Amino acid sequence: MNNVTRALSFLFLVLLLTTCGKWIVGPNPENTVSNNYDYFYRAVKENYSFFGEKKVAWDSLDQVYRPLINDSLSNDSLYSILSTMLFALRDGHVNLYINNDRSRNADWYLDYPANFNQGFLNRQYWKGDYQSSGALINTWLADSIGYVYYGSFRAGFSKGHLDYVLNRFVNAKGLIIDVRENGGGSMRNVFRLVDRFIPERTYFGTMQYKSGPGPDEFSVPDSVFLEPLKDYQAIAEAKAKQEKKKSKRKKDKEEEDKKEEEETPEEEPSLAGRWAVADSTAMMLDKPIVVLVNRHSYSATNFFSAYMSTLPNVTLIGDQSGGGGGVPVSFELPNGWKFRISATRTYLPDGYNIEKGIEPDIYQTTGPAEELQGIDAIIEKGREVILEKAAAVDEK
Amino acid sequence: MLFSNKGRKKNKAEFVFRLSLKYKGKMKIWASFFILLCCLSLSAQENVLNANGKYLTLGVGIPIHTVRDQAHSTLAYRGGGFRIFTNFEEIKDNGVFRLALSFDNASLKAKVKPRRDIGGAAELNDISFSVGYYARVGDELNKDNRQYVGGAFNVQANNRSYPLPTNNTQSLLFQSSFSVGALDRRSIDGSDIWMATTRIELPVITALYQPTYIGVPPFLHIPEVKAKDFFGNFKLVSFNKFFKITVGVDADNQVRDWRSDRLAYDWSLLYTPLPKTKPMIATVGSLGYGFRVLL
Repeated sequence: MNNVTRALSFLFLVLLLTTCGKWIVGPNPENTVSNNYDYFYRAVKENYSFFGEKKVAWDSLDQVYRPLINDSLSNDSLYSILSTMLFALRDGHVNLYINNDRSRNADWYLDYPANFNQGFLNRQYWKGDYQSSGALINTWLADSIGYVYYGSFRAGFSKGHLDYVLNRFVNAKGLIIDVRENGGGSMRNVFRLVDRFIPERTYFGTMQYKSGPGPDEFSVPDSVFLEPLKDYQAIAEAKAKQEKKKSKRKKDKEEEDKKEEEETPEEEPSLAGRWAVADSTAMMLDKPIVVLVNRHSYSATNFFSAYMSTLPNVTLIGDQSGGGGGVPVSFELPNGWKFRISATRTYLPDGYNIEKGIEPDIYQTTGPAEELQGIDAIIEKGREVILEKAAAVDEK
Repeated sequence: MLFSNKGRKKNKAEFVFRLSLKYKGKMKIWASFFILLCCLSLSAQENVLNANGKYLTLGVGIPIHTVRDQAHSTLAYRGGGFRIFTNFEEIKDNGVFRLALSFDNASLKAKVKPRRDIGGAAELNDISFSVGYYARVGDELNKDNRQYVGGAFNVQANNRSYPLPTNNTQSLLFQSSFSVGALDRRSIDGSDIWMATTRIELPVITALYQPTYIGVPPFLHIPEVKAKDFFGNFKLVSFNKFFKITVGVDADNQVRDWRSDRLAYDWSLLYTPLPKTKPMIATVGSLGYGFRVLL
């Protein structure tokens, strides 16, 4: 073999092996209406996790719609059929995506009163005085009650933002966390927020995901434990020891300081905390906390409401949360359309499946009638609960 | 004659003389360098390509990836990108020690017929590391034709980011394996200039990061993931659950005593039926160029 032959052989090998990847991996499934429908039907059947809870018979839907499927069907008609089938699942995590639209079923919140009017809140409660710490809108309400509005778990906040907000309300009688109309987002933000309200490692239930195509094939339940951001008890014990050591010195100093104070004029009250910079990790463990929810508190917000509802000092007020207890996963059809469906399920420690939504401890509605009186009845209920609990603590 | 050559020659000589004064120091350096280069080109008297020693190769390549990962899409994604690779080889009389590291980045698209834009491309990142030893077989003294067999320890992290709506957009294949392999080194056409190394490898036992059936890694929905949880998701598998064959052909062309150019072609086929009913099959062919130096 001469060099030219050798070089050509090498190039031939390169081309052959590189192009054969296509043959080895195989062609894409045929892009026909019936093929797209089959793939769609099977993927939902094998991966959707809430057929039992929602009492939806997928095969019955198939029997209704399969006869309509033929290869001469237009894309619009196919989209309409597939969207209608998904609509029956009544799940906010279920959507079919095409270039110009996204199918959805929003009846899980549209069928209920809004119980929320951001414009009204802005004018009546937040006014121009609120602070925006990352995505956390926070302000003081009357009677020394802290208020935080978190509109989307997609929107982030830093550790510093959270430290700032919780330090700001460290002397409040209680805290209202308003997650109404929060459609969810990142679970990491849920964990980062809940971390600040638990004194110790806490069990929040289990999560399972589909582990096979069968209707009951789910993984062994993963336990969900959350750790507090800081070891609050250990720090408290260490502080107590330090205080004992310093107590003797303090007593001596206090006597000296009293003498000096008598000689110097009084200072104006400090505004520290108004624009203070977060300087320490803040936790809120013992104060009464109220979480405000409505039917559009969905997905990650539903997880947040569910986890918070298990804490003893937390009261959920408003309407039932919208649900969304399954992590959605995505699929692609042979024609390139994408869709997503819920493929996990989550249970609280008492075995409650949070897909159905979390019932509030106190049902409360608000609407135009209350707005005419200049109040948001859900916030006012929250204030009332905090004041009652704070008074009970004071009495003790 | 308006202009005399005599004057012109005189001017030229004067110019060269002045130039030589100006660059007196630097010219010595340039001259030395030129002579050194000449010596280098004259000294290739033996086939150092096949000589014992330590060699380091650095190079770049163009990989073409084709992937069908059914936990994420029914469609096959295909596309090219770039590869950066480096090898360290220690060639001894009785064996070859080989250490290789490569990084791939590629943009992949799925094609649908009739052709239409399905929105977005998948991005692939792959890091592969391999360390192995191949012992020489046969006792021939011929340096121009040697065969070796041995094994290697491989680690591969392959991540694909699919243009999907939520959560299972990231597909991670993480594996570390022990493979058996064979290596053939021979000069091409008996020349002292070209040398070919052909390599074939097959993992025997693999610790595979087990992908979940739904394509969402457990740590996405568990708040605190510890190393124990992560490594608990590895599964020891063999050919039937993880199959990968790698073929590599390197053609070295000696340019200097201490340096050769390398044309490298690597091809691999990977198949895993995990998770159940959602197999993944992928091939990659990469043509690259690098230079190899004798350390």
